[in-house]
Amino acid sequence: MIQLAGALRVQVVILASLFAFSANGEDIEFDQIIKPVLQQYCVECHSTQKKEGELDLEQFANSKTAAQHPKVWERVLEQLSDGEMPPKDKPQLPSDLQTKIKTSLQEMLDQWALANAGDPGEVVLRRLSNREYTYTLRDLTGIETLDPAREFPVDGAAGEGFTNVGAALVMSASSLTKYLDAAKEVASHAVFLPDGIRFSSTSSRRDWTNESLARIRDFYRQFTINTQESVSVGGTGLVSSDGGRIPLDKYLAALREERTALTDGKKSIDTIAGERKLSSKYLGTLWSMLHDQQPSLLLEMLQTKWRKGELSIADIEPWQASLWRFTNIGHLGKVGGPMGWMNPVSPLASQQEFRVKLAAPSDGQDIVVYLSADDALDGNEEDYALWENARIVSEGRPDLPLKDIRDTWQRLRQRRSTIAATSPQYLAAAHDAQLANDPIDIASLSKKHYVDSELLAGWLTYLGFQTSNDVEIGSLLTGKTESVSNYGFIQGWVGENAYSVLANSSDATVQIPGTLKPFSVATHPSPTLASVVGWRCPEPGEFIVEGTVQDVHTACGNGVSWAIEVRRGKTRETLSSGVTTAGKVSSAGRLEKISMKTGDMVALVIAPGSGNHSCDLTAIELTIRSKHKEWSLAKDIVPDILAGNPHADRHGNPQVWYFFGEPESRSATPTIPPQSILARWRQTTNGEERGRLAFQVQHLLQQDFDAIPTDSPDRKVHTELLSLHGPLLASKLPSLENANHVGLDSRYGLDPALFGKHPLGRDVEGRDVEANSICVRAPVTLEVRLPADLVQGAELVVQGRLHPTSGDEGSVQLQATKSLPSQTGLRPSAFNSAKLTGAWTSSLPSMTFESPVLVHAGSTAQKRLERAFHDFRQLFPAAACYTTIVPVDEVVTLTLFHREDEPLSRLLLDDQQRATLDRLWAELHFVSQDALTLVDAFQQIWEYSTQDGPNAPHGDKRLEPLREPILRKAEEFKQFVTSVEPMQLEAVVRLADQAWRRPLNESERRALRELYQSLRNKDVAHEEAVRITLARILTSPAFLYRGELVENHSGLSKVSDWELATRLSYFLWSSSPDEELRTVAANGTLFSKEVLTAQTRRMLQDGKVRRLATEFGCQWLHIRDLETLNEKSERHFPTFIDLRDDMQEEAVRFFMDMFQSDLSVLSLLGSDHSFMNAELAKHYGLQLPSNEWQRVDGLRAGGRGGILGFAATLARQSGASRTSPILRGNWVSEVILGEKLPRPPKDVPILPEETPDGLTERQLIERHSSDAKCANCHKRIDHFGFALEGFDAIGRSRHTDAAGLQIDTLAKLPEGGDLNGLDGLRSYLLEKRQDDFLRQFCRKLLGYALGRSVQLSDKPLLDEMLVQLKSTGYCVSTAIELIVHSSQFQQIRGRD
Amino acid sequence: MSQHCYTRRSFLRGVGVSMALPWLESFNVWGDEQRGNKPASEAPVRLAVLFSGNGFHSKQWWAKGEGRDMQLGKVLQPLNDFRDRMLFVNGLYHEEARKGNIHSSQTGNILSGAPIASGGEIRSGTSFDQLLAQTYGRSTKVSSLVLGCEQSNPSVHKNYSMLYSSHISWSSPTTPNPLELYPALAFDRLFKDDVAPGDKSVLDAVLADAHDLRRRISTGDQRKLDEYLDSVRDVETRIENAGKRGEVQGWRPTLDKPNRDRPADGIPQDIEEHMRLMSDILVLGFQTDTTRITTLKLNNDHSALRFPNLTSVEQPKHGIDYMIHHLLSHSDGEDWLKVNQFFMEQVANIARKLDSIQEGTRTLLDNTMLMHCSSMMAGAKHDNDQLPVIVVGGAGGRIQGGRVLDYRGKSERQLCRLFLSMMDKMDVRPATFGDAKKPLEEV
Repeated sequence: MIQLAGALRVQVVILASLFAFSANGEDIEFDQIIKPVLQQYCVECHSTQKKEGELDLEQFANSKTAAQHPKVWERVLEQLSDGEMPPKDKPQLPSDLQTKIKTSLQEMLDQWALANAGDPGEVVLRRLSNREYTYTLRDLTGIETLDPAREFPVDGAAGEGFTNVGAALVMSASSLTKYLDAAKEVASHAVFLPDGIRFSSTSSRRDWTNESLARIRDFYRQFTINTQESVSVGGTGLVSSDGGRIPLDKYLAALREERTALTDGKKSIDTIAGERKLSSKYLGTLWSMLHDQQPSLLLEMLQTKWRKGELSIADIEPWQASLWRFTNIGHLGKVGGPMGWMNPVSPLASQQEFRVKLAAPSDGQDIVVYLSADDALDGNEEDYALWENARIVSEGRPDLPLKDIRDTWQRLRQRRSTIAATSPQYLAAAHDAQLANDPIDIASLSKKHYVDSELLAGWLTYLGFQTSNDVEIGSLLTGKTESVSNYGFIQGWVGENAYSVLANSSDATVQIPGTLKPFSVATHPSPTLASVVGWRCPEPGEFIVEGTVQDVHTACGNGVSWAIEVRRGKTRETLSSGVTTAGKVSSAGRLEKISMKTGDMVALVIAPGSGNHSCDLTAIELTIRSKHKEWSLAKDIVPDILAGNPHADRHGNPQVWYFFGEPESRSATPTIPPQSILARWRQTTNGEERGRLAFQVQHLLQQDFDAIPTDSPDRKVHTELLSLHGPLLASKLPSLENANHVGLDSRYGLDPALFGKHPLGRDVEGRDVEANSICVRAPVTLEVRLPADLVQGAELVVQGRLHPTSGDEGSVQLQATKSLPSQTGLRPSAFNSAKLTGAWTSSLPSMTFESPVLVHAGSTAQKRLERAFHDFRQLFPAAACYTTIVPVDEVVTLTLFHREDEPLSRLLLDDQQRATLDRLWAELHFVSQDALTLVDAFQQIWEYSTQDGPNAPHGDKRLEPLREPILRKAEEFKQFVTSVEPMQLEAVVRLADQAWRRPLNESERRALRELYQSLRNKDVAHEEAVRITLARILTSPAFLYRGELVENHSGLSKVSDWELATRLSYFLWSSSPDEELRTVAANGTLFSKEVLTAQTRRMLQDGKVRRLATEFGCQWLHIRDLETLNEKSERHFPTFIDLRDDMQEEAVRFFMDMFQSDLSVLSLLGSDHSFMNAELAKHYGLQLPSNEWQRVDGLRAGGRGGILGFAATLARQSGASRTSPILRGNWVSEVILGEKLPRPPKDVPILPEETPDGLTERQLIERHSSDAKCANCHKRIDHFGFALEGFDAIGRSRHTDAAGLQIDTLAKLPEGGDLNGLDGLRSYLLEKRQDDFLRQFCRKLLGYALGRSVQLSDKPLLDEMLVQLKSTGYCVSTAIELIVHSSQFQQIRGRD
Repeated sequence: MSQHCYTRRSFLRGVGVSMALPWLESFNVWGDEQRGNKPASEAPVRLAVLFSGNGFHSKQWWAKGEGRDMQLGKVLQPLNDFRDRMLFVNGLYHEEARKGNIHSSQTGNILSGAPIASGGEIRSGTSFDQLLAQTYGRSTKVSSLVLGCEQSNPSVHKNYSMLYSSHISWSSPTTPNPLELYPALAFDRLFKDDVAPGDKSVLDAVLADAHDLRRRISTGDQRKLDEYLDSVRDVETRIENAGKRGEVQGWRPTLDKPNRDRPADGIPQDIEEHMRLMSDILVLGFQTDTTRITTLKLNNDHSALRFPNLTSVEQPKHGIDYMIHHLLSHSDGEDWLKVNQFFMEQVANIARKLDSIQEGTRTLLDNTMLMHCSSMMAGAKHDNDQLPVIVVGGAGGRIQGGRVLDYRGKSERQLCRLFLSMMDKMDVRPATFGDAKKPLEEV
């Protein structure tokens, strides 16, 4: 008795009143019908003495005592109805008596239930469950990633099996510590703002700053183009701008497409802007501009296009590029520095230099340059321009005036034929020079051979006989490595990016990776450097060179290119070259008769090949032999590679082997092509042979270039020897003192007659034109044709200037181009900033425009054009805002954040948007504390700049003016921070209303402020004190518990509006009420039926109903923790672990959809659809196009649909490696139908985890269930499980089990009939057991909503729910709404 | 600040209403009235209770003989070294635990013998370790440690919350003590002394909140809220006692501060490592006298624990798939024996550590009662008519080990009698406990 007292005590109080009401009838019923039956059939075992099964039926002397224990009678009725009692071996009740007593008991219980209907029951004070705690904090802070309960002990479940029942939600000292720590952790995520606080996902100021930055960028992106772009920035080159441009194409498209609607007044600008998510303000501005009566010059061009319907972004963008330029933010604020990131420029000038690079067209044609002068859209009155001092400029040579080009060309051709004709003489001289042991004396040599000394020098250079120049050696490797891959016997010289020369001094072949053979040398180039191993000739003579190269990375890499060269002075002769890939040995062959002087070098060059140097370890060997000696790379260096670089040879010569790197693209010093005639000449020293070859060279040079076979190495010899830049002609352009223009080739250059005269004649004063200049009246285009041979690689340079005869209105647009320009009125001009590298100087670096408009300074023409440009810029900024915000374009800068969004603000934002933007910026400055950071930054920069003393050239003087403003701003910021402290505290106090789910009373607010103040008094800093106050709010029982206040009496009362709101939101969202629900609660209208219904429906639509799906739906089905289920056999089901989350997600989405779409409760069983991603679908044998979660229909046809077919439930109710029809059957019976099964006996026979050979899981169970002890129970559950045998232990469809045995899904029902498979089970449940299923659903939902077990007095509500469900098509909202409107949900019991 | 002590009892008195007291609260004798009989300068007696669910091998849990000649069944082999200091207690049981379901109602009352409520309720009894903790709670920084190596099960089984299967330590009949699974956090609980500024203020403030709230909620809710009040109070005590420890009349613990580092965050993947860390912390708590009462639940009843560290003897190819605790418990085979021994090794491991620490003339093991029990005798039968219980250690010279106590076939064989005996060793002597009215004379 005593053990029941606690549980039923409260019930008693309420039931007592019932008996006054219906005492008589009950007495008779109990005394005359029930009691005798008990006496006869039950009391023998269930006596006060024996109390079998904890049940004493003897104690009930009369109906009064009986009525105090409705739970007992519920159980009695249940046992009778289930046929569990009396036991089979005891006398049984006759069936009429059984019916009678059952009816009596049911009536009695029904009456009790009715009399107590709506009893809210005893709901134990609920601590927030771990999930509720987490969700609540996430909602409170808006931070979805918070997981404060991750290390909390797991909550217990009670009541109807959910973890939201007060009794199972305990607290302990260690839990409280965790709550306190979690609260402090959450408080550390608070970000202080000028007007309060917000929360961040992290607790670092750097991240907060980044979040603030992101918010501003997000704001900018609403209005501008989102993509990353690069803009050319003076001083730096291309810099990413992160967008920031106005999407003009969209605006133009809007105007174009809605033109008629706008003209007809059918649509307003506002409407269109709204539809297209554009700024109404800017759209209107553009529309007005296009219809403006008095536009300016450039805009007029746009209007013209618009009228023709041709206006496109191509008419605007070039001008944007022409009229704006960007500068480095890092320079802003410097003395004389730029004012902003985006700066207006005007392509106006009074004179400008033009430079055109002259590259030969690939088709071998002439180079053509056009010099054009246009009238700049205003007619050609007074438009006289000068092309001055046009000339060809190339490095290392005197300028060649354009005027002289015809003559020069003539002389050059003559000289070439001279070179060709005299080549044998020069080669003979070279032969002499080589054989002579003395240093070469060019003067006497040329005299001896009757040749030109300069030309001879050119020949000798080309042939590599000019010994005065040493061989050029690149950067020597200096880094040493004592071991590679832990092999001490591999050592070598190393540079950056894997660049190395390594030697293996052992007899072992090792992988390092890449194979290194015994006693061998290998090298690895870097991405940019070729690795060169050089042998510097220690004594003159004739040598034989041999070499091998092998890419020893067989597994990867793209191979290397290699070459063996002889380098003499600046000359390189390639002896052999090739490309080698994976594993292949390339041999350079035996290169004989290589004559070298001391200091010449044999170089083995290994280049990365296509710039890809990965896996390019290359084994190399190089051998050089003279008559008496041999030099071997391996033999010379392997024993002691680290002895030095350069390294000695074995013969006692120091500095023979060199290891160095040089850029893959080598200098332009010509090399003699191998196998060419000249190479052959070079190779032999035989005078006769040389003489023969010299004549061949002569013949070659006299040949027409095109006649030489294209695959011949001699082609190159021809080109190089006769090139204007070649060794023979490079500095030898003849001077032109006595120009003779007669009979010249008139294709090239310009007619000399054009020079030095004014178009209006030369006689009038002021019309002087220099002899080298051409004066034109715009528009006119000059075509300048140039011989590619002559000018290739040089530049055409010309000065453009307005001729003084041009007047005030004179304006000429000039350009020098390589293609014929089309005639246009006024063209946008790109500017040339390629040369403007380096630091900022004093002002905008001088710029050259590609096609500047020349005007006189201060002229009317200049003003008119400036105005036109200005008007255009106002409307079409190149960028609307600087979205990068944090400048990264300079190494050192005092600009932390740069705000430049005036165009955005002016053109696109309305007042409210502007205010938002200002607020975001204020937050950024507040959060980042940049005003304070700057003080330190300034100090550092100042110290850096003065490290060479206070008078250092870049020292403090220049920075000094910045100091005071920085310090002042920091001081102002500190004051500001202090001034907003009260607002931040108040924000936290306000937050308490939300955290505690009710408005705080005045004394509670005061207490919070006092806590803060007391902390401040203890010298705790403001922020810390606010955080502690916040932690205190989140540790309070008012936050952690859902405390509901009671009146002092013992009856029932309604909960408060706030408490109802809280009940509702924890029911549907597992979290505290949101803004709207709080508003309704504050209004006091939540109890109104309409308002409560409306709120419920609204909340069911919200995404937060996912939590109801998880906490109620999944927990009901026992799959909430499936995502951590690790009891499956990984051997049998390797895919399970990765699919767990998806399986649970399916169930969550299914329930969510049911709530949000208000589907039938029966769809849980009968649905034809579900939700899955491709991975899960694959598990189900379906194919989805993408792994996105999506709704999939038509599942019933495939034998699934509804909760019965969820992989989650099927897997959960299975063993580790086999299915369990018992578990599944039990699940259907208990979880889905709400049946109460007897407890299993203690000595359950053991079932093996794996089925014995030859048995299916079903046969195993059937054998077990035939045991008499077990049969009673199993006959009630097994058939459900058998029906689901068509799914394996992780829910996949199957026809045979793992052993290949046929699956049987046909099951016999204990009441007769049978069902087959999931389909059969579903039909059975929907048709025969619908009420049981619905009642179970309602029961679980009610238990979840109330946070307690369903009790007898809930029966009328459950009955009503069933009735209503049937009349509303089983919509789930019906059940939910009945619950929230029930008195159970809205009331609370009194104090006792 | 006045030294208010919010034990549950003082609340009940303070409220001054007559109400049906929970079962355990009807004790007429409270421990703290009997404290202080211990002679000065002696080390205090400590209690460690270990638990593993699902019982043991049905044939290999036995002991015969006495002292060093005691013979042990295979399950107990790991404890061979401690035969002369071990009580092997056979034949005791809880009458209340035989009612209700298998598993779900066999564990929640293992240390109280109280009846277990089904339905929506959670009600068992205050466990004897917590009764001791309430007595000694203020003598040490931490009143008790409640550790676990398997997380509890959040569901309801056959009308019984699985909370019961997962909790052996109950601080009140309605409050199963939440388990600490994280070694690092358990370590912190004992040794983290750096009290953050403001913690005290926060605790004072929320305590005031709780008092406020308590006045305005129902009686049932008040009882629930008392868990919170007790917890706050407990944490405050801990903060006050930070740095203070073990000043029992001149006796000083052998260690001032932990002699090992804080364990890494998180729960070790390896179950053996997890158990070892928890054992270390248990020993450290005793050695530093930071707490004198610790329970360590090695696994749950109906446990899903796996043992990747053990290789299956019977089905070697199945490896860990097969080695699942509850599953093996039904098999009663070689593997089950192996797992049983693994658990007993944990007990031996703790005993060994305790025994290596000298406290005066005795070792820490001599001053400890290290009890291990399970919810049933043999997993294959779910039989709890007699429970497997051993006690290792000397309780400060008050327990004579090396004995087999067999109560099979005798009357009055309540396990709670053993608890009365053990409480007696710590000078706590309630007149009755659970279903027992007198201690076991033999212990």
